[in-house]
Amino acid sequence: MQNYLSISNLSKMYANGVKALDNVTLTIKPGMFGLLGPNGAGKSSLMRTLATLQEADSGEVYLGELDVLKNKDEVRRRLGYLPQEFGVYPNVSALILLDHLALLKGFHNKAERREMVDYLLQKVNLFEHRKKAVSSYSGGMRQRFGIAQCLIGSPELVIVDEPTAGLDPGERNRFYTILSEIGEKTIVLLSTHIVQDVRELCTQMAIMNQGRVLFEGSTDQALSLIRGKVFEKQVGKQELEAFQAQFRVLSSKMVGGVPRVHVLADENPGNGFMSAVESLEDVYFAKLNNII
Amino acid sequence: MWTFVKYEISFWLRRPMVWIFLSVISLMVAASVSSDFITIGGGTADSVYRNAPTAIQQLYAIMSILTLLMITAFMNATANRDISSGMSALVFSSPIRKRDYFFGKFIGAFIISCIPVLGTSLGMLIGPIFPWADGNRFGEVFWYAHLHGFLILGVANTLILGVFVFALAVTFRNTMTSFLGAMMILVVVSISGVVGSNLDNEWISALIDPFGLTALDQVARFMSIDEQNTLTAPFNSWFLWNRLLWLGISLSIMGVLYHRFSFTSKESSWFGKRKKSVLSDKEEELLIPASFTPLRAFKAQSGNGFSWSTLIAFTRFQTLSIIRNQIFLIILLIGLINLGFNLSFFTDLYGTSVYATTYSVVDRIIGGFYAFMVAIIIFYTGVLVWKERDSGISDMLDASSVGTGTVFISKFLAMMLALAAIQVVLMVTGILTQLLYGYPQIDLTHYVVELLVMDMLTFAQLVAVALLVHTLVNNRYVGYFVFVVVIIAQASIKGILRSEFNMFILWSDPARIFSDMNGYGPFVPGMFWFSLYWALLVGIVLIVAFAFFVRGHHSQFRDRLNEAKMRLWKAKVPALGFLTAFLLTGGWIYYNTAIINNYTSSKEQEAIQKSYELTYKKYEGIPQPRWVHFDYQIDIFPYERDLFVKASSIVVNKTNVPIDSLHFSLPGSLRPENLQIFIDGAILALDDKRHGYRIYALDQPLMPGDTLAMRIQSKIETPGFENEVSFTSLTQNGTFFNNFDIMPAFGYQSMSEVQSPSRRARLGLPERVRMPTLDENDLLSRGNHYVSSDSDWITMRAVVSTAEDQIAVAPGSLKREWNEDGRRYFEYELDHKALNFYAFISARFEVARERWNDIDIEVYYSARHAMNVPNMLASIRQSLEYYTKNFGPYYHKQARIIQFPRYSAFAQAFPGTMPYSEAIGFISDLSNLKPGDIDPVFYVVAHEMAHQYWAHQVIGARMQGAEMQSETFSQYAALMVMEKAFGREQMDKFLRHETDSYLRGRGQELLAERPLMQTEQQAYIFYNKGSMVMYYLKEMIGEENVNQALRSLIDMYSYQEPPYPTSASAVRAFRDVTPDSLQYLIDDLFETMTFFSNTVVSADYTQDGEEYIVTLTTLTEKFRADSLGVLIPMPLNDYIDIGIFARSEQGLRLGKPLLMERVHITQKENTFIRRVAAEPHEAGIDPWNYLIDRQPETNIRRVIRN
Repeated sequence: MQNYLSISNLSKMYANGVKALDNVTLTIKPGMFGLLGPNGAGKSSLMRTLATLQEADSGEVYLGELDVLKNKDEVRRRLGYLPQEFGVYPNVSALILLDHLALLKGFHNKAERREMVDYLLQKVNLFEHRKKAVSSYSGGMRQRFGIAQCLIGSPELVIVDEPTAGLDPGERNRFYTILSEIGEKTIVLLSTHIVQDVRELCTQMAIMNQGRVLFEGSTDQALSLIRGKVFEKQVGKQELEAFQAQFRVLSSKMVGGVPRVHVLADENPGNGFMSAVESLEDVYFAKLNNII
Repeated sequence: MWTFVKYEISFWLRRPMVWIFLSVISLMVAASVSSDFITIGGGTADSVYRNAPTAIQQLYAIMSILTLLMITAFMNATANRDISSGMSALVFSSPIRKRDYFFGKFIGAFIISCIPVLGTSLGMLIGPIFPWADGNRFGEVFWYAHLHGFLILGVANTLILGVFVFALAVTFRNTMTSFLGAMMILVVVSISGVVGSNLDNEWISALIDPFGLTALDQVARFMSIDEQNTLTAPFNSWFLWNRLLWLGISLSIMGVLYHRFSFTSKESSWFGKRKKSVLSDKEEELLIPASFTPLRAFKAQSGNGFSWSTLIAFTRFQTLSIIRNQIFLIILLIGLINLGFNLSFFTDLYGTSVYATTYSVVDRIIGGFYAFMVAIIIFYTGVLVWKERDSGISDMLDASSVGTGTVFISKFLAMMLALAAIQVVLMVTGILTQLLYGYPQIDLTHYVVELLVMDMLTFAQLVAVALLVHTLVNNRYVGYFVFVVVIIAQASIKGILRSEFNMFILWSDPARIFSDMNGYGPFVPGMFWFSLYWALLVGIVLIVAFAFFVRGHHSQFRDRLNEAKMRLWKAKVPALGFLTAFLLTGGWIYYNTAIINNYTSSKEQEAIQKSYELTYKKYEGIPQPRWVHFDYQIDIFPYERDLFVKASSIVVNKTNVPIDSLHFSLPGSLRPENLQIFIDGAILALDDKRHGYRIYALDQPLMPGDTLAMRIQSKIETPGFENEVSFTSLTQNGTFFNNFDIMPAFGYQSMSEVQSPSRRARLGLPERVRMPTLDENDLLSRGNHYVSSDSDWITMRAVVSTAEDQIAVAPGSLKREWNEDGRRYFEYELDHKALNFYAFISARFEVARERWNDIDIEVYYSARHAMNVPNMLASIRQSLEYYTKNFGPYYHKQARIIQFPRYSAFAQAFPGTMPYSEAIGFISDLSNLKPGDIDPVFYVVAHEMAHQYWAHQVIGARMQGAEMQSETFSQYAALMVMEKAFGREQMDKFLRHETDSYLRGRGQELLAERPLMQTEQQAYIFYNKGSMVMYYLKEMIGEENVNQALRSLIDMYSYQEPPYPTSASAVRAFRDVTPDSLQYLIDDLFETMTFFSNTVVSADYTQDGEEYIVTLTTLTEKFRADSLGVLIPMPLNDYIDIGIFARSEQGLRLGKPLLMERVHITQKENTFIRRVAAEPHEAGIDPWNYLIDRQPETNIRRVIRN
């Protein structure tokens, strides 16, 4: 358990009565961990709590031996955090801002700080644009800047909250490439509502909804939950409702203008259903809809 | 269009903002009209009702300045709402007409903007209902005045400013620009005030003030009490023009704006906006080389916790971001423009230049810029606290390992550095100003102490408290509001509580005055300890603010509280250190200000005055002996600020009854226990320390005519430091006190009573007569002159010792001077009996000496202020020449002027000695006097010299009219000496100032205006009106006759024992020298309040060969006023001058007179046809404004060629 991040029974209720975290228990090993859930599932609340930005009502979080909720300062020293949304000071260049952030993270030695900043900017491919204001960056560049600041000081725990929202596929790929270069000993906690992200990057994952953890395990474990139980069929728009009542429908989405439904069944329901290749998306929907 | 108007109105009416603004204004007005201690604007005289028509107008004008920011809020939000909310695309693409949209929105916002200022009327109406309101101070409700004020000032100003702000908002689409524009307007107002300080520029200032306040003041300033209570200020003259001008300007702006307004090109602005460039992904074709190699590891040198380099770097980063910010620069610029105007006029009361001394420059910097500093602090502390959250970077920063303390302290330091940068800019501006004015004596220490130490300490407190407020409140707008409330509360708490104990009132410290002579002198210990005290509090406030400083997201205050406890625990060492030091310093201050020194609040002081009156008034006028001789031995220790007095005195029972007990009132300047009176055969029967009253019972009554010797010892010591330095008269360099400060007085002193009529009414005290009614047969009152009530003419000898490097001065001839035990001794003796009223002075002086006949003329001055000493010597010499020739002998063997520090700004005449403040005269810049300019140094010296006759030879009985015999005659005497020295031209400007002061003064009369011969403590009468009356009398009956009358008074009453003369005998003397035809003048000038209204209706001329024929048509009216200014028309039978003038030469108001003629006027309208030899330029009736006329400018008119 040396470097595991273990979360036990973490709960948080907001003043308006919303239960953001409901008895969350997770154990996260080094490597990429994907936290999947729809908007409002409590992912960001969890991540903010882990990033020392928010208090929990009850529960414990340990990073190895370190009590995360009590030793915020020590956690911050080992943490890299990329918030879901972030802005920057207006009219400040990437170089200066990253340098400033490095200073805040304890890099007092100017030469060393400069070296690291240059290295990181090169690593995220922003070196050419380092003298331009971050506020003028495009979404992808901005996220890459975000990951660069996240990596300052080689953190043990990297938390990235919905980093790919709003990015085009090309940018997403670039972003993943950078993420994948983070060392294996680092815990990288990635939250997203895009299933594909998890499939492409993570070995471990959890699914959250309404503040609760619905699933925790490896992606393989997740897929094995539904292996051989997913069937798909193209249906007419009028039939949809009937299907909803009749089958355990996982999802219905438009393919070429015609709805295609995925249902979960122990065996092929027939009626034109075909066996489908199981995907994390199916697991995700199955969990969200309480089907398994 | 009306749909837009309706929408706007209903939109705003549903928001709390408009109602909050309305109630704020209502409450402010209600508070100010109902309370005696909260005043808004100039404040009105006691005799003017708080809800008088003119008060309503004035408050409307002032409140419309206050509502400026509210108007800005409405206009800006209305103009920009659709765009800022992103609705514009929807709205502008819908089928609406530009006209409807544009005017609809404006009119809607305008109507809403008019609501807050209505609070003026509301406040005025509810003010009298407040429990503490005094019903006597309110008259009936003048609905017309409410309507007048609301329309002509409230609504008009809302329109004028609304258009301006709307234009800014529509053009720039930037909230800050709108607010900065509003600030710029305030600067215009303050500039108009500065410009208007010169009488000749008044009309400019009346026009450029967009609020109309200055213009209103100009039409209202000469209104009598009665008119103020019953009439609104006339809507004419510059006031009318001001309104028309600004309404015109605003309508034109509206026109241009409408023309430019367009739905499609909303980006259009006069200054092309920089397009924000957004880098697109396309710009980087390069794909990231997917190395998939692990990232290099970098380890931070230190983790969280404190590090200097981080603090410095972070502070630098924050400071630069403030200083480079455009808004910061714009506020600074506006402030500097305002300051520039403040620094461009260094003139005194009479419009004469004064030197740009360091203290006056510093005073102007503080006066002209302080408000901007507070604005910057208010605004930027909010910005600083919210900076990270505003830009959205806060999560990243908060999750980084930087110490919370580092972040927090760096914000505080950044603010302080930015403010310090401004202070340095101001300092440089100040020094440059001094150099530009050619005044090279630059006190760097004063700049540094005032601007970089004391001011910065005050700012540090403001910033710390602001940070605390913003941190605790954690809502930006509520935070701003709370902090502004704190500032207002701080500023008004002393007045509300009437308690002035500085250490309990946030960031308040003892007042201090820097003097060129004496530096910070007596204020230094208080400055040091209070500064230390508040600086330590800054530390504590910062630590608390640090504990609550927001990091991360906290949904509940409980979480923040827990966090704060933890942080406090971590910071316990500095926290406890600051707290201990703060408490120790506080204890030390308390010990000094309240235990070893006395602290009395003004409320307590008033209570003491009240009970003194109630307890001892019964003794007023009881038979008491009178002082006849003093022998002083006075030891002044200027550097220790200690004073020891031993006096032997002789008193005589001048009454015709035996006196069995002696009553003493002790001076307030010393502690009762520090004054001892030794009288053989007397026992102390009453010793009331609270009121400073003692009664000694004599075992042997003092029989009529008997003499009694007594010894008196008193001392004034200044242990530690006080809440406010109380006795600046005793100081390091420039000690200046008089005998009343160190000696007891016989009997009850009515001067110690509460004087304000309204306060007396509040306290349930009976109405107080200022002076006994003028009555020559009132011999009881004539038993005393008006300077003191326990002596007539005395003899005096004094040995005064002081520090070795100082010169001590007392009245009389210097008999001996010696050094002993490292101290310097001076022995003075009066050469002639004199009033028991004299000063003792000690400082490091230079002395300029001259002799005139047998009289030593001396000026004792500090080396830095030698500039005008020759002028002073000349004025003394010329005064002596004129006075000895026209009034009579000068009985002293010396005439001395002695400089004292600017803790007071006056000159005063004692027998043969005239202490003269460094703030007046010594710093007048006479190098560029233009023709017609007033030489105030020469004037003041001549006035004080005249007092050697008028007051020190002839002194009036303590009765109405007393000051006429001293001040009015001294004004006249000074005018004559000036006229001789500078010619008649210089009189004009001086007399116009006197008219102005008189007419304004009577509008602020507390009780009742009196005729000159019955003046009672009314400076506007005995100085200002007195000058005019005497000069006019001299013009009418001639200088010879006036002087003959005055000389007869000297002959008759010089050094007169009781009964003292009254003004009636003076008026009789004038009657005696006035021809029958002009006897009416004596009634008009001395016995009644007479006013004229002279107007030139038309003036034209035709040429006839070499000559010019001028036709002048005039209107003349004459009135008598009662004590409140109610006018009654009088029949005309007067001799008035008419004059025709050539074009005026540079600087003078009127040109060379081509004709001056005194005409007998018996009817209102008159036409005069006169021939003159040169081309006329102007013509007028009473052209030199000798008569009191509230529209003096209509007396003259340009002559038009026919």
